[in-house]
Amino acid sequence: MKKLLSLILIAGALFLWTGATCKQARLEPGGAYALTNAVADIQFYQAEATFSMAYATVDAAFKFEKDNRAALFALNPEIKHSLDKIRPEAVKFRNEYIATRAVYISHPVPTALPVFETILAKIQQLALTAQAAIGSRTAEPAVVKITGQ
Amino acid sequence: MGTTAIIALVLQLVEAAATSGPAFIIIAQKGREIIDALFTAKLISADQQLSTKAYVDAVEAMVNAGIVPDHWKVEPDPEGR
Repeated sequence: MKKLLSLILIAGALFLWTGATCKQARLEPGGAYALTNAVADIQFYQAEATFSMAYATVDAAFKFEKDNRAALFALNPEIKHSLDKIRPEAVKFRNEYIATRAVYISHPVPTALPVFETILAKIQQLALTAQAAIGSRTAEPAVVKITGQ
Repeated sequence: MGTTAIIALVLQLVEAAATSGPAFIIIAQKGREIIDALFTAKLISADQQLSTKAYVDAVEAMVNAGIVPDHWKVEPDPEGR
């Protein structure tokens, strides 16, 4: 249980950190994002990497709660209630990111990149909220059976 | 957050994933790939780019198919609570 919770928290820290440091790296030519070797390519990759980490974190938190719902609800109903508040938002911003991505891929101009930042900020906030919902409310020892995922 | 701390976190991440279910392994793999790219080579390899693109493409395919995973849906509270 502790390891699983740590994993979710670590993943959140990692994807936030990724956004801050990824600019130092370069894209290998010939890769899926190295289309023009322009600055825009690494910025788009950064958006994609950040989205994928945030998505994976939110997805893991939702799945963890769903797979262990009975036990977690008995422990603290607010875990489910908190996640239920952000589930519709997560779907909304997931869809917004994908729609924005499709537009950018069809017309990759650097001026479109800031749109990603707004959506990613929302998704990152949802991931932090999801982690907090699980992490902060399961701190006390639980005499419940938790499955692995 | 320093480099040493980041690497320590990722090692914990990988260790945790090794004893957890498949849902967490994806996150661990991403963490390892990112660390390798940024601190070992300082280069996002073609494979890393392909991995990231494939992951987001899979999410896109779900969105385009109108799929919302069950664990992303709001469901009634467990009965008797």
